[in-house]
Amino acid sequence: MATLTTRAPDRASRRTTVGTPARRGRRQTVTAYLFLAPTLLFFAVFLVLPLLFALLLAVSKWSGFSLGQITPIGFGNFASILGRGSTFLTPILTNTLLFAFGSVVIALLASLVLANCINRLRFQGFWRTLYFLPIVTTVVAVGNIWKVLYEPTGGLVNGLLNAIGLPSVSFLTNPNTALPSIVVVQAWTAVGSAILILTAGLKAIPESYYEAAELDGAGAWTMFWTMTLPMLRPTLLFVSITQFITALQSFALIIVMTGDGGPADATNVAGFEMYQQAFKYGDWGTASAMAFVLFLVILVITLAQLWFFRRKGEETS
Amino acid sequence: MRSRRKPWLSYLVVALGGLVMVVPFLDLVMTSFKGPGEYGTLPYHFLPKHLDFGNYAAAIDGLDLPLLFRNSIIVTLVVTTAVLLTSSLAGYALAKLRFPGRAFVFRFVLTTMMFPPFLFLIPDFLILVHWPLAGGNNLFGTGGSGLAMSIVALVMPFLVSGFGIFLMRQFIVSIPDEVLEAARLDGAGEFTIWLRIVLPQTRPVAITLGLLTFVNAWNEYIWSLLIATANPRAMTLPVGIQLLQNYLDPARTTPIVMAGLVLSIIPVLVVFLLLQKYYVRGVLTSGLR
Amino acid sequence: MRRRSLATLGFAAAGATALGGCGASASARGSGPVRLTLLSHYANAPLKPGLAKLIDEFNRTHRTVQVTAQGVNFDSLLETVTVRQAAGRGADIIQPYGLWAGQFAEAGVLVPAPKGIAEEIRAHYSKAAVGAATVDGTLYGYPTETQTYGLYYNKRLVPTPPSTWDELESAARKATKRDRHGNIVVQGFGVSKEQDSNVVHPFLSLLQSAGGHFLEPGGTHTAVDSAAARSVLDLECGLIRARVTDPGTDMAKAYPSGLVGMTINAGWWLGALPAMMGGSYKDVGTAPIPGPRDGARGSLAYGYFMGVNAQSRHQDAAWEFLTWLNRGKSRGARATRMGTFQYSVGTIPPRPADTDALTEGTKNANLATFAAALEYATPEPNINHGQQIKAVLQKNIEAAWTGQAAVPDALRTTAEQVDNLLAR
Repeated sequence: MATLTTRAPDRASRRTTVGTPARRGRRQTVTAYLFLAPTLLFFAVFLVLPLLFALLLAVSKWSGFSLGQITPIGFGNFASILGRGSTFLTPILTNTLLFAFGSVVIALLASLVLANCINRLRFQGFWRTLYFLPIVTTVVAVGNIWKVLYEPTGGLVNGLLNAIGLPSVSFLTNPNTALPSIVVVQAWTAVGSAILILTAGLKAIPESYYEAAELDGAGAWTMFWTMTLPMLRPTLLFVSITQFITALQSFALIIVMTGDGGPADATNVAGFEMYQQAFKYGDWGTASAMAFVLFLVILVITLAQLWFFRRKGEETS
Repeated sequence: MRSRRKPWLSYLVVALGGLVMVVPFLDLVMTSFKGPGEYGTLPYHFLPKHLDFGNYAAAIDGLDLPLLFRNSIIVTLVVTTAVLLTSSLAGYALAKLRFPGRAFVFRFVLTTMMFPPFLFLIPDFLILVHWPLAGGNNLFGTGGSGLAMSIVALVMPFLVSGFGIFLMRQFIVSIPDEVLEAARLDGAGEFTIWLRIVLPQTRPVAITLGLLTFVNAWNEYIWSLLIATANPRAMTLPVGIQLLQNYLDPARTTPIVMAGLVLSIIPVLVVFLLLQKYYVRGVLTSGLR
Repeated sequence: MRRRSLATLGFAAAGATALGGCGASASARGSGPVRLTLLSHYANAPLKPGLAKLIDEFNRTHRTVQVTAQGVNFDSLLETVTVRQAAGRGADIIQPYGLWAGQFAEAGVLVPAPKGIAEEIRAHYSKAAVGAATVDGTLYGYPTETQTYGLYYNKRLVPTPPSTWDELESAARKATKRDRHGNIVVQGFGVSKEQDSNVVHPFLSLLQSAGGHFLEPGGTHTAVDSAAARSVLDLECGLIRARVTDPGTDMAKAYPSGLVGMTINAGWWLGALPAMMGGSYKDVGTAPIPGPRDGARGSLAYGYFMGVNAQSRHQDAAWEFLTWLNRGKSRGARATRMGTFQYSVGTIPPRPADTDALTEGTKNANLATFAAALEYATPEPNINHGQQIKAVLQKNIEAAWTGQAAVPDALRTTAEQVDNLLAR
């Protein structure tokens, strides 16, 4: 505002139409809130209200059909799902953590390597598009494609195994292999967007750094370890956090590939169990309680990652 | 320039990875052409013995493709438009307008990104069921089925995206203030400024956001499954294909489902391939670090 | 500008409300015939067309009440009922699986059957059928299907059916064939993992033949952590370890293809096998499920029933339709409409009188096994949380089969988890 008053003599005739700074400030406030109105309204109805409702349900017992039947029962739901004999902690929560951890780690490592490699080639756009393919197709497609690939009779993976003399493996019906098989698929779909974001981070590192290091005689591995990785830290953190949050709650792939939670509940994850509790068993209180427990888990893991990456940053800087 | 040695190792790694990316899709297409008895028998063979278009006919027969495509297209277009509109409006307000509470609102928007969507699955459904004065509901939202049975339910929870607002805001911040000030001094209202100056400038990030939203909306499964369970007429393409398996002859299910999937992937693939150049560029320049 | 964006918002809200309102109000308007919807899992042949024929007959002869059938796959049925009920759009008439009766009673989904109808049902239906539709003494509808379990065997592979577990094991070993890679080509005894019922029901049948039971009287604790249950799992796991059984096979395809010596399944399979097997159907034999000792038998009975939705605005019309369907007889018929329909697809009718009338003069040895099992079969419990308990049992049995858990541990875990659910 100060700059305008000093420029006033040039535009004296026009300035009068705009009004005093105070009135302009008020106008901006009103306009701003009008621009924000749809957003704020949306969040009020579809974020704040649901959260409150979910909180209410988490401490109640309800079958879902008539609002008047919601019966508050205190922390009974939490006691039941965290207590003895509950399947929520084991195996469901452990499955969820394994699923998330496995798929994110694989996706991160693979995309780190691939983003770096792609960065050195020509036709980078082509390669990145190639890796982006799985994201463009629906989870239904991905799930079914891989279900077919994993089939003991008629699947490509077992076809390859048989061709080199190994017996077929029932990937999705064997409790020991079911979850890892799906973890691989989840990582497969996540690699593309991770590569994209990591590439943005890579491209922000000036070439001059590398040239200087090369002149000093640094090898490719040293450059990667001492320069690329630390400078990618913020990008890696972003990818890691967003992918973890997604993986901890996603279960569409699990529904498509193993409809009911897998052999011996091997692929039952928290999101899926919560969905079943509400929409199959009609136990809305338990479902909401599970949702909040899962949310807490996500929060803890996110904070842990922030802490971990910050520590690493302090060490290297 | 870095050393001129040809990056053979990189080529190898990337090519191998690329193979892993592409082969499943090739298998999809191959399987969609396998006739009954060809699929599911040992020993495994990759190529079908001959091209059996019967699976495509059965898929088209078993799926109400016009309905599914119509629903999916409507939902995707509505959601993409809504997200682009609300994100650029809110993003502009947060980036360039000064008003009390601006910092709070921005932090609030950031916080919304941290809440996992599944938390809202159940309450959102119930809120839509008890929406007042809709679907037979009275003023208190009881008595009918609210909006939950209609196609509106498919789009409602996705109309605004905290991530989109964040993206837009970061981008709009980089638009020089002078341009906007000049327009204000010329007597333009904020809405005109937004429409005539800001919006055209946000084209790169808008394409990125639009494409991302488009793909996510097209592929959305869990919420769509829920609404389709309540009302089969409100079914989208992914859900339709998945449920196809329940009604087919078990011996031929898989190749037919594969054919249905190929049909459903093609539109998105085409759109994506046409726009991928912009998308990639968009992510790279959006300051997403 | 201000006016424009407000107007847009207003339009959007009105549009959304209008769009939403369009779908639901049509059925509420009263003029014209009363329209009823019926939801069941009869989504494919032969059940779907069979039911459709009966409904057409009703619609033709009743101008004031018109019924439409909605069929979804069984796997989606429970979820469909729950979601549509929560959305306020439940069907007027629902045919739930008996196991869910407890869950539905707790949630108030169905109305109890009116006194006159309930009395008629209790007087003329088999005990197992009535039990499936009753929760805490309250009857919730007309039983429609009753199923029991028996031992299916392939006469070429297993000449005489076993009458003890030892005989079963040796017959299974004799019938097994493997290829040179060691893959099982012909299984002596087949277990299936296809659905929860395929895993749980044979287990419960064998449990009964071994003298065990699943629920303590009173229904607050499970009795599954018992010696009898351990012996059942030991039997099944032993067969798997001896590579006489492969849990990963698709039993629905393998048995009709003549690749399985023996397997345990329900009576409705008899309705589907002739079409699948054609000429080789003559190889199919059925026998009671044997127990560890000679003379012991076991089976499980479960059923479906049709009840009226508490949300329905036309409950009287709904009961009128149900009575016509389940008690009425078509002109010249020997049995009720539902009984005739069920028998035609290979299921034992829930009314003993229908069974007598329809099997008079015929000799269907295979079906006789399942009809006889009605006498001694233990009914599937339908307590609240029944579906969840069944899922828990299924997962733990699978864990034992695949060697993930030792048999005693699997049963102990099951008991803990089931008790946790019973306490909710």
